[in-house]
Amino acid sequence: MGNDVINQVLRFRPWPQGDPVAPWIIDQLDKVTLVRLTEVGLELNQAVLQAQLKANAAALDIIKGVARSK
Amino acid sequence: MKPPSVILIGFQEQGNLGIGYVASTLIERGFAVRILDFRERRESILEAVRSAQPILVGFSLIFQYYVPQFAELASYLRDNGIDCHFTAGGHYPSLRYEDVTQDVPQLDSVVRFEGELTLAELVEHLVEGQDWHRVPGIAYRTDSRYAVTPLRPLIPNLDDLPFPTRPLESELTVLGKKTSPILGSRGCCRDCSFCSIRQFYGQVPGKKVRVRNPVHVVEEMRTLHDENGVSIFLFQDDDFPVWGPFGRRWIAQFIDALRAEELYGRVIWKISCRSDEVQPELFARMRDAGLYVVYLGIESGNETGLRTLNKQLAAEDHLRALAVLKEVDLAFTYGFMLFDPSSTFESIRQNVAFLRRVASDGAVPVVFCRMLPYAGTPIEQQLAKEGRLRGSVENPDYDFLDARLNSFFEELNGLVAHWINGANSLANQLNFAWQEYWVIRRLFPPVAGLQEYERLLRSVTHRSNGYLLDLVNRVCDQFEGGRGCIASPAEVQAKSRSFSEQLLADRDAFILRNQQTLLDSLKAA
Repeated sequence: MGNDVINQVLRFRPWPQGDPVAPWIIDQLDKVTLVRLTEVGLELNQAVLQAQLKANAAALDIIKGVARSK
Repeated sequence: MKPPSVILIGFQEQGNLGIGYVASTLIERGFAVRILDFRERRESILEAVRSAQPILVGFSLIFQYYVPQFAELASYLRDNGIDCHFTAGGHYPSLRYEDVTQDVPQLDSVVRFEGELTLAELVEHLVEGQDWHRVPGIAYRTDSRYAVTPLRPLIPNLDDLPFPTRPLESELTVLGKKTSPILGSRGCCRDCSFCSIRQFYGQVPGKKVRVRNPVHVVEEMRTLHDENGVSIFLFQDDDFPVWGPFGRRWIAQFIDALRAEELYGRVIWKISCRSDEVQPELFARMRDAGLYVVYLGIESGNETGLRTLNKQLAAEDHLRALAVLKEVDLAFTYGFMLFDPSSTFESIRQNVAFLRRVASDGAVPVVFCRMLPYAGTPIEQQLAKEGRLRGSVENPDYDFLDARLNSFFEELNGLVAHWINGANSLANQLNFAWQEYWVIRRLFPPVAGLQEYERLLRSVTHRSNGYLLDLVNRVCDQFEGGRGCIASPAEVQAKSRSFSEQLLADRDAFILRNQQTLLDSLKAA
């Protein structure tokens, strides 16, 4: 169940919140802020990859378990 | 003959009524106006300005911390051959025209305070080739430094202004229901130390609080309802006119007008007001007439903080107002400054305990921020006097009395900024899910399982609030006494994602079950 079966009009679209920022503003940020933003981005990637790795290992275990039981 | 054209550039995403009023005033006087969103690509903005060949480009400078970005855009336009008159307006340039004319040297002038009449007169002078340097209400650079003309008094009667220009299609919808920002009044008679509204209006001759005729407000709502299909109105008044006997009369006339225009029961609306203005009988009548959510500027949950911010309210006043809103079955959202210049570890803990009481039933997500000393505010002056003001014009900041709080704030901000700020933050998602819930209750026919969905929403909101407030306390312990262990940003993000996934799963399952009912109702409206 997900957005693919929910009508376009009824999909979950939270409003923008906080001050809107122009995409090209990123050109203007100082180095410290850019480094911090990169850090947060990389930590997020790391968390996602770790979760995927865990899911991958669990899926493999299940498949191998199924294969063994056959 | 083609009418002279004017380009206005500002943030459009949240319905910029300020630009809308300026635009409609110019249009009424025969000028062609094009509004551009500041976030568009610079090349697109340049192309639009080139093709319009305007007599003036106006920058709406709402947020002072975007001064360098506006300066960059102005410089880009100038470098590419745009040589018409550049002006800027908004709270910040009005109060700090010296800084703005210096920081954005491409500006020919600054329009100070209420801009509708001043900008129209400035454009008229430019079109007619007259000397514009004497137009009241402006500032501009001179060889020596800068010059200002006498201030233009505040517009005495807001009903003299045309209805503001708005985009034809509302960008913001809730389950297919269109929303629109609207104003019932301008100004606020209070003087919170962190707020620039009073400074903005206080420096100009004229009444500081002006209220529109409620009949005209409802006429505008009727037009938006009939022509644009708007059924959710978001009042952006600094303080909605509900105060004292005057407020009661205004609300009574407003409700009568809603009945007369057949909007009673067909539209809903949101307001902002103070906690000491919330009264059960009045708010129950407003609820019946369509009020569905109230924004309260709570700001602090401890007495020192409330005194520092000059709220002239006690923490108990806020709790009483929230109890009334719950009693009369209205939703609420709120602003809260966990950190202010008087903050100590103890006051942060008191604020956390207060937020637990505010959000104890899971009806609203916990949100908070740090008070920032905006230009021209009493708190900015106080901090400067104490030597604690730091940062820059566009990024004002201050030192806490206890230096450890500076690192505490930085650490906490790094951990929870994504939880609270931004369209995809958990707090924003929870707020929006609650908004949808109230819209379903108020604008759609009864749907199956709404009570159960409310229970699920409360559960996920309650659990996420608990985690967030526990986290604040943990970081507080760590920075105060080196006790405990702080979660990593990745852990906090993973937690936020898991609450978000739970919320979306519950929400989508509920919407899917009722999809046909909701779509049928939208079609019939």
